[in-house]
Amino acid sequence: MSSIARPPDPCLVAIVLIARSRAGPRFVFHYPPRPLTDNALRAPAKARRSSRSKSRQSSKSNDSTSSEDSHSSSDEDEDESQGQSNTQSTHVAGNGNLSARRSSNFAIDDHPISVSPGPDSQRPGSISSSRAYLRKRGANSDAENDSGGGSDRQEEGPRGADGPYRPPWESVLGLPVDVWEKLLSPSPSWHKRRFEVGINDLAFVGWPVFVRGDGGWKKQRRKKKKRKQRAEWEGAELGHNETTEDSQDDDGEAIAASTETLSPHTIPAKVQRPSVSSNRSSKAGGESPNTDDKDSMTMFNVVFVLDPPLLEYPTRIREIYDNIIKKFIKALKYEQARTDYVWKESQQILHLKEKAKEKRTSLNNLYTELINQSSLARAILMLFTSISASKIASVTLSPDVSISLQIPPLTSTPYLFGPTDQVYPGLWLTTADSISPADDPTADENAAPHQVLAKHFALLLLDNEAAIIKDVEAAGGALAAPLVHYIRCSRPTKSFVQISQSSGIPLPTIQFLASHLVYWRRARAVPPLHQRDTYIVSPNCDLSKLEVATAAFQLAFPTLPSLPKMLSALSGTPRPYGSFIPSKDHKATYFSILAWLLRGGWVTQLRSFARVKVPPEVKMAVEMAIRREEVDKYLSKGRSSSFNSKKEGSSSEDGFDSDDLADADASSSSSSSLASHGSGDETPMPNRFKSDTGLDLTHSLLDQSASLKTSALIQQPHKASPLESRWLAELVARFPEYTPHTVNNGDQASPDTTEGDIGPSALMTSLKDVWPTYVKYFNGYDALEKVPVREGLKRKLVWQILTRLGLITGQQSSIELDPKEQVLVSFRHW
Amino acid sequence: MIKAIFYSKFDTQEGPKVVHQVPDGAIVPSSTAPSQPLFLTFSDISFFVIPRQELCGNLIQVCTNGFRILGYPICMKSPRYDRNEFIFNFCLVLAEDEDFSSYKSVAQKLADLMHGLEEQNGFLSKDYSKSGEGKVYSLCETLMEDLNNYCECMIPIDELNTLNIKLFPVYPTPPPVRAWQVPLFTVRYQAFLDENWDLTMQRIVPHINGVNSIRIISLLADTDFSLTCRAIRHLLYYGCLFLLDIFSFSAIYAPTALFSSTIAADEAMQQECARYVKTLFVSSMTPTAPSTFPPGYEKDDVWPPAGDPTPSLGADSILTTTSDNLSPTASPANPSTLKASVASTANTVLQHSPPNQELVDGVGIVELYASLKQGQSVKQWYLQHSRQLAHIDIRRFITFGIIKGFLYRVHKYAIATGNPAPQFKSGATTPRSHYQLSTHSGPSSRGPGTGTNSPYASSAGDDPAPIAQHHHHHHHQHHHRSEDARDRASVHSGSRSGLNDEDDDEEPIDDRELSKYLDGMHCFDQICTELEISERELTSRLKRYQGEVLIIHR
Repeated sequence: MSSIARPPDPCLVAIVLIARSRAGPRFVFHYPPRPLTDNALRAPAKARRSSRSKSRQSSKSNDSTSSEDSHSSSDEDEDESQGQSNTQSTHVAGNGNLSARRSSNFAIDDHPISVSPGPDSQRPGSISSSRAYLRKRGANSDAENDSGGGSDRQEEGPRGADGPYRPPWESVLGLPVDVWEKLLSPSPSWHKRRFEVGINDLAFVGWPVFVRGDGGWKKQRRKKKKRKQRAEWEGAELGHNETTEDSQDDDGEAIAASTETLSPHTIPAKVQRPSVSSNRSSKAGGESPNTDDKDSMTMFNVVFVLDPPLLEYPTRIREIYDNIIKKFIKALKYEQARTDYVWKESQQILHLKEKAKEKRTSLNNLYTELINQSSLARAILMLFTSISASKIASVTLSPDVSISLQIPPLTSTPYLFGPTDQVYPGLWLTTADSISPADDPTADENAAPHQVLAKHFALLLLDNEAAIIKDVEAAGGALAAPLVHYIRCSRPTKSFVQISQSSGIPLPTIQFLASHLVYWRRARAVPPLHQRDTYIVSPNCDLSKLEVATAAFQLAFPTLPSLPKMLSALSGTPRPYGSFIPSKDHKATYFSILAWLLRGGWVTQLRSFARVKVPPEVKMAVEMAIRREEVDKYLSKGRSSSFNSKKEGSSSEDGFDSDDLADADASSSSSSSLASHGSGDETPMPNRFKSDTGLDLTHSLLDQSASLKTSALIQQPHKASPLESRWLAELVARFPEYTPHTVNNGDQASPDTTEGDIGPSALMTSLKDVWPTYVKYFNGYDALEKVPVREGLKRKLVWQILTRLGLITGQQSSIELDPKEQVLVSFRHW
Repeated sequence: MIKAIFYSKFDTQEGPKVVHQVPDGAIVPSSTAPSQPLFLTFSDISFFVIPRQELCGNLIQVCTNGFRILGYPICMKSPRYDRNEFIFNFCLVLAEDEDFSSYKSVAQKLADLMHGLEEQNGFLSKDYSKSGEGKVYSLCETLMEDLNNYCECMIPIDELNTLNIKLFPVYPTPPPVRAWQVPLFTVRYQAFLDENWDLTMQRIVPHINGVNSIRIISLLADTDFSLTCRAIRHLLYYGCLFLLDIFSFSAIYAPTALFSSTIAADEAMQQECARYVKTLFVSSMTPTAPSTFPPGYEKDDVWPPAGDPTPSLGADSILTTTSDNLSPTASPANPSTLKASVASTANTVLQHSPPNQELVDGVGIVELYASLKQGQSVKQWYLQHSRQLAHIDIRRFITFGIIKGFLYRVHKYAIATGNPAPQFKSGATTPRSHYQLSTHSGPSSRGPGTGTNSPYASSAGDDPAPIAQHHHHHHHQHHHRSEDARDRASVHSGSRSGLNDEDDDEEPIDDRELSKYLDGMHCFDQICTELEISERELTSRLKRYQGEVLIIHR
């Protein structure tokens, strides 16, 4: 099960801003100030970076003396301070490896290179560790190298004589910033393309933007109006529906192109501040030429430094590139085009840094100041802090432009993780949100499946309603009012369609608002909760959180059974949830409990699936019928074409034609699919006519490989093969016209009384009539729980019919079963 | 697949320069291969290929034009060079979206080798051969060919040096293994076991058979437990093992979401299952079924099995039977009604199968698996389907589902709530007699649920349900019992055989020891393994626990 998608793990180490002007590239800003050292946010969560945390701990000690440096000639500065000292300590760790590796590798012959199988070997050194190696080889002569361990010198020596003071921020990840600024400002061939450089284990990913030939940052032909709208979308960017192609020239627009694609419907008042627009365009026109500055920017690049595990490298890079990097830089580009934003902020940051260097401000003070003074620095800080914590980043570039960015988390999985898989306890375990074959039997919904929530789903809020409404109102924006209205109307027990009917909000609007809430992690789309549905303790629930959750549960439902009691009750033989509800008065509360349990991944719905089983008798009957048809056909053909085919054997083309004709005649009484098949693709091969029986046994439906002695399952009833169609037809033909059995009314299986009255009628109807409605769900992938919701039928009726068809729910049923109707093989899972 | 390899160096006159390239003309235009399209623009990447000194000695990769260039630039300083330094880089070019993890070490190794060769005799700096010629070029050429074709190479360079490279795939780190997990080989370890193996490994492998838990293996092999775990993990890393759970008839299994797409759809898997569990299987694909068992296979310690002529009775597969005297079942169709051709087909089937045996066909297997469900132990399931299961090795049947991933084990967890034990609840299920399978017949009388409709019920399913209910009977006895137990805890090895807890006055495990397992984080398998008791003993012991204990199935 290695193909399991993993929840996002940002692996974010740092964010770096590079700007190039005619004077050359400048390393403008990076955050955090000391990457890989004080990034406290990440430290606890990541055990796999233990070696790094170690070095982090030791990074306070300035004297990573281990490597007493016999090479005083080195080129770096003593007071590189803590940022560097981290590097040092890592060196210590790294060098051990490296020297070992070197010595062995020099005896090339007997050491085939190998990735050692040790569990941690995939992540050898960080850049810093290898950097020591690099310095050994690079900055020093190799003679020194070969002389052995002495080469472990730390490079924090004086960096040349150029300055007595080298501020700590001029060295990042162990290298002076002038190395980085050259490395990370690529040639224009990367304009608006993914820029990816790897150094040892670190990946540097960006999306460089170059100034256009005309000195502008965007194409001029674009109408300004379009652009206005976007800026208003505070926190409302629905990036998940983004359909903009990569690096098209319109990305000034692309900040929120997604919102355009997503909100074709009735969301009112998209343009919130029309007045600003004129204002803005004039601004843009006026300032972009940047007349007062002697120097202007020709390129900027925001580079995200990542340290993805080797095996997840492509996934991690793609996630953050698609969801964060491109969108963020597009926003910057938009602002750059509009107000020369990036360059102005860059100049301010550089200016502050220069001043700080003169005053020898400490790194922390400098960063405090930068964050206070520069909105871009603040934005990068926000972005880093939120994204590296896997949260939603709300980034404000200017009063007009703010965007929300996130790497969408994994919300559910159909796979139960095995003992050898990496596990994500608490993840919602379900197949309910995957698109199954007949998920759209009616195919009347939008073409893009995952982007519009299926209308038969319901919304489960992930927080309590009041809190979400409060947040939504606080965020404001055009969506706030409709969202609040919708949240108030929404119930996890009602599907979008039902809510639409009851509240009067159009269905597309509901789907849009719901997907907005889902995307921004406020809600989850689930099959509507129902008391007749069955819920079990999720095999993936996180029992290590039980204690905390029990307390929270106690708080939420103080007078009700405790969380362990609920879970304990839901263990054991699965039963409909309704059977746990002690009385009608408790119904609402118990649905709140169920919602609470689902939200936390404690329970999951146990759903039923079924396929149609074709027993040998039916196969045989169909076989006989087909043979009879064959014989009839053969006889009629023999009459018409006077034994033509028999005598002339294989040669006769005419024979085929007449055969086909006869075939069409003979099968005219059978199903249409059969007829089309018979006259169509399976024209018999000539040599088959040589068979001495004179009967073309392999013709048409007679598949010799299908045994008549065994049962078969119909995999896809809605795409049944001709033979399968015949089987199904035969099966249905065997259903009794009416059910002679009466209901044992005194002992109804279900405790549910609300839908009780239709029972007898459901039991009396002939299954022949209802079969067409049901059969498309019998594909093993569509949960039968969908049937009542989609078909608008009463659950009780549906379950009675399904039970008659052979569904085994584990509940003892009073329905008398007719073996002829028992055609389903059913199984239940989440 | 390596798309190209090129050797680049810093030329004091020309700057970064491609000296040799394979294929010719892939990186920079070549007069000898004018038709070769360029993969990329070298000037775009030259800064990454021949970077500043500070960056030399690092593995550097850059993506451009759909390619990933992987290099390890080396800067060597010596007065013998122009400007006292020599910078070179051997770069591998891969498709950008290809997995490059195993090539990182190749780039590094190559750089190391060249570094060494250059130091020894100026292998590179004295290579004045034209592009496309000479030793360095042919080295690149052979390297690329061999790695692409054989995933390894051994290229002699001179009398002292040979380039040995092998591509190793990188696998994910296996998680820690647990004492109560049951390993099963996916390979025949005998084929590659030799006396140079780790001693622990040599001792444990014979005991890995899909039945023994790691704890048992360590006991049987008399090896240190933590070393055993490490050895198992090592085997896991290379995919030589599956990890299963401890099979018992009180365990609960249920289908996973893979059910529809695997066993319920894949007839080949149904046949595989039939072979594994040694049932008589009638295939609908090949009229010559039932499947025959390839001879020569004895133990079920390896997956996939090669077949097994003699059903091996595992310690707990007591239900496997070899007898043929089963209730005859209705033969599916009446052959006399068949036309001749069909009848002959059918007869082939019948010839091979003894007429009195029940034929479990593919759908039958699916139905058997589908009838496993939460809240129903294997034993209960067996009782309901004993007829169909007559020729089936139950343990293997279950194991097959676990291996294929369409079944999962429903583990039980006990949680001490800290509340006092609840009052006795009547109407709960009565304790069942265990291990007397023959007395049960037909479907279990167990009705829907456990007979209580309220979540207040502490019953958590069928077997463990009565735990809390019986508790208060013993309440007054607890104190002296636990004290007893504390005294004797060290004496008792946990091998109690007392099936009837009412008669048993000893308490080998005191509440304090037990309580640390009752936080919901320890499944029954773990508790049983670590306390060395059976699940039955555990269940009855939990009933006597002072305070409420809830069971969660997960």
